[in-house]
Amino acid sequence: MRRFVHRLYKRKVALISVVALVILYGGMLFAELISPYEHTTVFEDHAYHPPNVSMYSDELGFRPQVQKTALVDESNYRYARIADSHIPVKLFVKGPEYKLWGLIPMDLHLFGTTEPYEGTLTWEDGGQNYPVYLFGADNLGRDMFTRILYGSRISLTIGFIGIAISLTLAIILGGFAGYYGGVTDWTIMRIAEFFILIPGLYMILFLRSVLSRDMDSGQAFIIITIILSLVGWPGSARLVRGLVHSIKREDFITAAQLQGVPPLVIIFKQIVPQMSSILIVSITLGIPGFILGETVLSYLGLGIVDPAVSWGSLLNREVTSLSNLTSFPWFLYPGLFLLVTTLAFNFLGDLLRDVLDPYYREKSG
Amino acid sequence: MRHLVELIQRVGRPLYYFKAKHPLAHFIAARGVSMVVILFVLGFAVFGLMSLTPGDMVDNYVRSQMLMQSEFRQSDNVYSEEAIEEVKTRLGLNLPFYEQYFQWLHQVFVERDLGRSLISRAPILFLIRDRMVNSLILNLISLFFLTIISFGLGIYFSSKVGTPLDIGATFTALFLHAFPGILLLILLQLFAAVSGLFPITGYPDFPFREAPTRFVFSYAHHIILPLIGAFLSGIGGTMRMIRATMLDQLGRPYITSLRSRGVPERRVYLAHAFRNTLNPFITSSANLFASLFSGSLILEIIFSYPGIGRLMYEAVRQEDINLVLANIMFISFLILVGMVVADILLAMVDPRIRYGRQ
Amino acid sequence: MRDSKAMRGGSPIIVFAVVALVLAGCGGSEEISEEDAEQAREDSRSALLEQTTDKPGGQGFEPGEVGGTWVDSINNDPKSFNTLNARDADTGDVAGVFYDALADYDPNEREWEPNVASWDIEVDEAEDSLRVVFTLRDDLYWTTPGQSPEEGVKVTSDDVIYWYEEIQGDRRLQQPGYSQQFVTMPDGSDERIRVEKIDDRRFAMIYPRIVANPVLSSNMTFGPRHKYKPAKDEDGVEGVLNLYSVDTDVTTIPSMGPYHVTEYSPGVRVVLERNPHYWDTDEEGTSYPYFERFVYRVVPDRNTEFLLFQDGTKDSYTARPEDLEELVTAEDKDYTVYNGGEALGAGFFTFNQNPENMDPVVQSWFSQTEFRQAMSSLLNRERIARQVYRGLAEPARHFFARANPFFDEDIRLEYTFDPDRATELLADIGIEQDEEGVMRDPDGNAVEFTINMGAENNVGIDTANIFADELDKVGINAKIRPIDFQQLVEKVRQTYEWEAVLLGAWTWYWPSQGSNVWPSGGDFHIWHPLQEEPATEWEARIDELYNEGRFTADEARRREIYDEYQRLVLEQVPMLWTVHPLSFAGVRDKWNNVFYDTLNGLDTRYLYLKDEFR
Repeated sequence: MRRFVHRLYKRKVALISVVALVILYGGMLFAELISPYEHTTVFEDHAYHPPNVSMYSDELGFRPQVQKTALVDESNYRYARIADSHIPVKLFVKGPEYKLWGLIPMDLHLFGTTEPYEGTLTWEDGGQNYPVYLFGADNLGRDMFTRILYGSRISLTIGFIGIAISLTLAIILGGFAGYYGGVTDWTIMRIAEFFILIPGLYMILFLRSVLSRDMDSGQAFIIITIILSLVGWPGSARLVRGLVHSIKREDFITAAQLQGVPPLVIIFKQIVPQMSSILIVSITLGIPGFILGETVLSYLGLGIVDPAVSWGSLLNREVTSLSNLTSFPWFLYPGLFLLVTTLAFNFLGDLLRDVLDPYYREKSG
Repeated sequence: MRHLVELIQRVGRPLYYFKAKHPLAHFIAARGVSMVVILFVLGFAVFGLMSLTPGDMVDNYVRSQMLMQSEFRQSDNVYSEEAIEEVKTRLGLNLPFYEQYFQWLHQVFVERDLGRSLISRAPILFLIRDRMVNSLILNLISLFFLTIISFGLGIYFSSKVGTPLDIGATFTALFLHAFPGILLLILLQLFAAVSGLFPITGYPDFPFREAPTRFVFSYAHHIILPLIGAFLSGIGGTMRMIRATMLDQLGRPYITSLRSRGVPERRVYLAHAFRNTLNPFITSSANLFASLFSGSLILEIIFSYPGIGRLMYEAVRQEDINLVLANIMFISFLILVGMVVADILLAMVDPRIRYGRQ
Repeated sequence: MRDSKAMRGGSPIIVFAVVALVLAGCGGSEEISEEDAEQAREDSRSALLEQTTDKPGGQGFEPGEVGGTWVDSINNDPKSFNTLNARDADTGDVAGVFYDALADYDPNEREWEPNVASWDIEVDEAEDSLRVVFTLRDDLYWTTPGQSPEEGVKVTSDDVIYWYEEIQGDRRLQQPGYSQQFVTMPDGSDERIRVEKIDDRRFAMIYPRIVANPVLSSNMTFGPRHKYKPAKDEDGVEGVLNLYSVDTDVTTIPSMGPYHVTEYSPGVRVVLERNPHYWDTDEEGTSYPYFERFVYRVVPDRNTEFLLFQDGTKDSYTARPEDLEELVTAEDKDYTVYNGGEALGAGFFTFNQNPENMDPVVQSWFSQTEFRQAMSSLLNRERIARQVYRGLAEPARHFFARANPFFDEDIRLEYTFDPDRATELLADIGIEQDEEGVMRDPDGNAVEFTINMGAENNVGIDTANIFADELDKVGINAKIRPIDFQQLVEKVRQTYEWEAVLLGAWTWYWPSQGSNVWPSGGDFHIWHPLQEEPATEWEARIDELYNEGRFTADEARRREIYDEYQRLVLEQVPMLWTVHPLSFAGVRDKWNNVFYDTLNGLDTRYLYLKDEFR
């Protein structure tokens, strides 16, 4: 651990990655508090609204603020700013009520405006406040920033769940196969081949029709991910088996065997570290795979839909139409988040590899 | 009991002898047998899964017809319960799934007929043949390029570890890997439309028999963008894998000792470290091949490529069991062959692995 | 050393983020006042529509010259060249070119017109029976590509009768037309409409009682007897269904329609060539259509279709709302965008009034007329048109489609968006807001329900979200739950476990259609199917009107019946129709005779190449 922290300080990319991940996961945990609204909050007259936070105006000087806008073109949702109508963005304002972690009832939000949206009612009186769009609004006037935060609950967890399950199975089964060889190897590998042959996409189609009776698409998707990772181990298992096969004749393994160390311990303690880099790479590459897998489903009309929200579905919904892509580029923000997550995981993975690799030497320069 | 053991040994002896004498032939034979068993079980599972889904093809069809916009100038769609039952009986959908499966096996292996699609009633062989060839061509070409280039780059960048070049490459690889595949394909298509350099679709708009030579050139022109798409979305992952394995190997003591013995760096890379990275890569190539088949669906849709994915997707959605089964069997067979080839290659490049010998 | 490299690694993220922010933030640099914005909004909407062309069809075609290739696309491969197996629109389009219907309906005149046959209706008031005597044209032939009429087979009444008796009339073939061969008698039993051959060109359909619209139920397309009969005699039903599957050599399929199919490449294209001996001709005697070839490219993706239209490959494109601006503002465009007007159909919400498998509390709200009227008054159709269709849709206010002979502009929905009225209506049945603003019924139950729709239906999900948002403003909590389409149908049709649904548009040209939807005993009387006895008075009245209308021949009386019928449905609002989207189609300018509207569609039959493009 000390070595880890030490290295972390020495390598800025990894440090930035860790910070980014902490922010992302923190945002996920406190989504309701940080986001100015709820993911279903609709601002009627602000469909497809571009990001509207600015830092300076002649009216209010230097401070975070938004300027009121009015729709000037319905067919392509162009807005014009209204002169002298700046509204300051304040910290810790009242907004829609929510229950933090499903427990604590609150109505405090990290930022927002305090001026009413339409009419004279603010949130406290049952109305709405003027919206702050950090990352723009979607086709119904819902805040993208809020939706991205809420979406991270699915997107930041499924990758982990999926990879954790399939990799554990892969190491154990693939490890046994490679370690014992013979009949064990043969049987496990034939079973693995069987699972590889089940075409994933069609398996999802099938599971969806069986599962999603009364679940919303988000829950159904998590369960599908779990099932998929339960049947998705063989790819990595074949990999692990091949590696174990080639490692197990090394002297230090034989030594451990002679000392009577149980096979599972040998696999995890001696062999897995030998393969650390490839395992870490497959973990870090696998996570975006799971998140992106969902965009494919959305494209086919099987993905996550309201009220559930995920990065994949956000990215997919409007981006698949070319004209939207050019008119409303802020729909690509979820992609940016995805990218940052992937990069962060990978750079962190690189660091972990160095820490775990028994042969790693600090290279000079 | 003793006799039984003796009997088994006696029957088994020629097999052992065969195994000892021709390990490769024995290996392939054993894999062939296991392949048949796996395919059999797979078919069984497909039928079982299909029967688990609520409703069947006929129900699906009737339901969607009911909710579909009715033909303006025609009368209403009305289906009676008995009529629905009758159709199910005609298609054999009322039988338990294992009986349906054995019927199918009988039809395929005894009558040597793949049957007809339940929905379109076209012979399955006709539906699958051309599309399978198209898919195979596309997938093999992209596998080939992916392998060659990612190997080259992976090894090259592993020798440059820690340099700005390597960080840049890492960044690019990850960027490509985290880039949504659909968006990538759409952007490529948009590029084709704006630049006019490439066609928008991935397949010539006339058939091969109309003008074979022109077709080949036109095909080569059409296929470039889909290939680039498949290549870009795959290269990030494979390149990272190879780079990581290379680094693993380079960190090993044997490399250090090679280096200390004054073996040229080039030789260390290409003859020793490289050889050992082949193991995981060959293994995952077979997986990659498998995933290319199911992964090319989106590509086929966006670039209007007449491959097997679109056919299969529709068949699964409509629960056209004959078509689904034939498709899965074909694809599975190809993938299994790919895996056997991978295993044989593995044994050739990695002397530590020998078939079945401890 | 290492640190500086590391920083370089991190900087692209920052650059990317900054670029993205700048890109996103740069829209709308002008500053205006709110009034100006209002004005600009009005102007821009009409400006966009002004750039489209209104050219409704139905008449005004000029005679043209033969030539040219028309390229269109279909989303999926045709599944068969046999209309009996045509179960999706694409297969229907392709397999339909071989055949032609007896009669054609002119939606502008709202009248039946002779097509391949003309007819006489003989009414026998005394016997209460009716005969429709059809006479086929004399110039109809089944030909394969390249055949002259002499080499082909003449179309006779035997073809029609064989089709009616042995194909449509064979229950095992599951043809939708089967049930149309029966008429409900006054005692409730079903009796078959008989067909009788008079001579080679004439045959009669004999109705056991007088019906109001006999041409509708007699109208049909039919296939060649000389091909279907041998198939059926040899292999029965299977033989018929296996005929003309997609592996058939397409050049052997006989056609009496406007085209022959000459090539099919799976997954790539279907090529049609004009039938030079087609019976329908322009005033100069040239057979329609004018195209030499008609190519259907198989293109599964909408964006690809759009790009293919823009690069000139495809000759026409039906625009989505979001494509319209790009289409009309393109520079140097060689196409015109036509505004076809409102689509005939509209999606609708409906509430489950079936007590089976329903929460009795929810069911009791839904069964109250005032509740449904209030819901209709809370459905903000204008906002749906604005936000979901970008202003390119019209609120739905009518029950009958415009093409319906009994459509009346003045019989319109009274319960349009008006939240105050909705709260009043709800108050009438004791549903009022409590002090927290939640609507509660007299027993204190909070009014909340779930709306289901197909998960693939993005437009539907947005529509429902807007509805739910308006409901939320008055204190009603509606949950949006998109589900698998198959599952949706199963709920609606079998388990009845649903509260509210949003379904796609159905359109009927005639009031007598929808026989399984409108009568209370219908299996698709969605809100409460298969009732033994009508559950409510108004449903009983609908049943009466529906049946009376079907069997009343007197035109004036029928109008009275259908006026009451429409008013009743619009008063009871069992279905809340949302909006009619506007339809737009782009067509290349090299074609003449282009007319487009939602009633007639784009009639490709009359298009011909302008001289300079020959």
